[in-house]
Amino acid sequence: MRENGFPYDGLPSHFNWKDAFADSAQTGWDPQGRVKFHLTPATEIASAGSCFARRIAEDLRRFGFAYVVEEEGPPWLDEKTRRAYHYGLYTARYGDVLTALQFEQLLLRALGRFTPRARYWTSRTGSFLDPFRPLIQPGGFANLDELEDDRRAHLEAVVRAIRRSDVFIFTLGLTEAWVDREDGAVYPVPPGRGRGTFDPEKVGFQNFTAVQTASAMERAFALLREINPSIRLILTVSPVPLAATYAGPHVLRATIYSKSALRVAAEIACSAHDDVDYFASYEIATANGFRPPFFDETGRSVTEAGVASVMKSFFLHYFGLDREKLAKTGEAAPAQTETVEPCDEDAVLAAIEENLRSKA
Amino acid sequence: MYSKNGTHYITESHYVHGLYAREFCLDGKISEKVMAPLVGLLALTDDGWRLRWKDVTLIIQCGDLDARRAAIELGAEAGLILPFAPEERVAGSQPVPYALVEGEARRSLAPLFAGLSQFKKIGFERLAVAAVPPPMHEEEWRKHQRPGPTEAMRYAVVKTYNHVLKACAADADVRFLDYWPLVTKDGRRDSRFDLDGVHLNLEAAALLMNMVLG
Repeated sequence: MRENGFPYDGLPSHFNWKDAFADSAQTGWDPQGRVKFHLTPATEIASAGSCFARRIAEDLRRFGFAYVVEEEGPPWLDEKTRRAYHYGLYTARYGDVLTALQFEQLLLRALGRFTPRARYWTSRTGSFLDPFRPLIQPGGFANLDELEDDRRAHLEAVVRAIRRSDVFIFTLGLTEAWVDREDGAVYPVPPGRGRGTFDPEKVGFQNFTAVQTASAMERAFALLREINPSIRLILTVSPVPLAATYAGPHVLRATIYSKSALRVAAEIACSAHDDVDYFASYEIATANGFRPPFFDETGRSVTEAGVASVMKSFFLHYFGLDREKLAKTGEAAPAQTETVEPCDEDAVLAAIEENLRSKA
Repeated sequence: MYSKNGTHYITESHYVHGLYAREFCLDGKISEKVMAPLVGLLALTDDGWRLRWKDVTLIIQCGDLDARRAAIELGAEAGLILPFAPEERVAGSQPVPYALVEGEARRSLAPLFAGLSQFKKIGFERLAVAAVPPPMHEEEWRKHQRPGPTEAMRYAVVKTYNHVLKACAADADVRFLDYWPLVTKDGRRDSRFDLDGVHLNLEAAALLMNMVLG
């Protein structure tokens, strides 16, 4: 025991708002602090999550890091078509995985332990869609056999990807979801309006709590570890606000609830395991609100500057590398691309707007 | 000459060697290889070539040249399963959605249909495209080609090409002559219509003529 001792003595300056705020004016916010483990350029990294996760994947690929892609698609596809069909947007062709429960169920399906009742949705043209990744196949699959064949290969690819990866990055996106009332299958978007039929008797709304999300994340981590006992997990929370809320009462309030619950769930998972870390992309991007320069004028799209700031912190803390220097030596890296493929949440917005147009 | 029900038809067939569909018509100009044997049917006017007679039916019979090339290109990567391929789905294999192969096939067939559109302008009112015939035997393939796509993959690509041909023909208001079911047995080339392991024989040609005459 020290005389005149005080528990806050000797803490780093960024533990103190006044100093941290002053620093942020100079160099921007970088609230990451200590990371639990470090990565090297040879570390094999897989990822999944909400739409923002694509931006992380793009940046890792852009600079030639070992980003795992198990579904690259046919080698003769042009880049635009490849992206439109979601080849290489993520580690596997799973589309956006928006909730922790959807992630857990993806792993259960990949392990053959969960076969959802809903095998397919039909589009307006009669083609077939995978209810759990409805946007990965523009125009849909030609027939059910093709869909199921692709799904089989996809779920095998998920397991292969996890087996070969050293680290999995999962970006938590939403708490609001549409769930099959019979078997609890979580959909990324509700059925209806050209993607299956919405039947409120069969599909219900759910707004997951922080505890439910943390529990699902805990089970998902256990499944990841079952497939690959040495895999480590980095959790992030998407800074992108909700496109629309069903829970209400206002989309901003729903956004803050959702992000808060996800952030708490991430912290719970992180506190429980040495091999689960939290990367503060959410805090970096939203420190100044949903406004420029890190968000565009819509307040929903993270700008290149926002992504750069987030990834600068990621490279610095996990790799000990300066992203600016990587950019300067990036001649051999894949060309910079822009995420133009619609996210699953955009599909919900489009469906809402279609209804508004039809009433106009 | 071809006769059916007491009616005689003057027929002429020309083999255009080594011409890909993607070379059929470039920049609105039909390939010389295609035009050369047709010159006798045409008159050169101030507006360009015109068909001399109204009752001429022009049938374009695609070979499997494009499909062979496509099978090599599309199937170059081991582990890809093309639509219509009956291979066993083994772990690690990646099915290629029909829409993607269709897109490639449409791109390579587009010049053919651009050429058919030009033929319409010249005055050909009766146009037809015949299905690509079943691919050559495996032993013939091995004689002529380096090891490459399997027979199953070559069949898969030809079937896709025929699907696309049919769709493109409908879009272009051109008749599609699908004689595939007539010259195959159990999904493979029917030996009764086989000439030399590569080409189909005259009996197959007669089946096609019967289809044309309805």
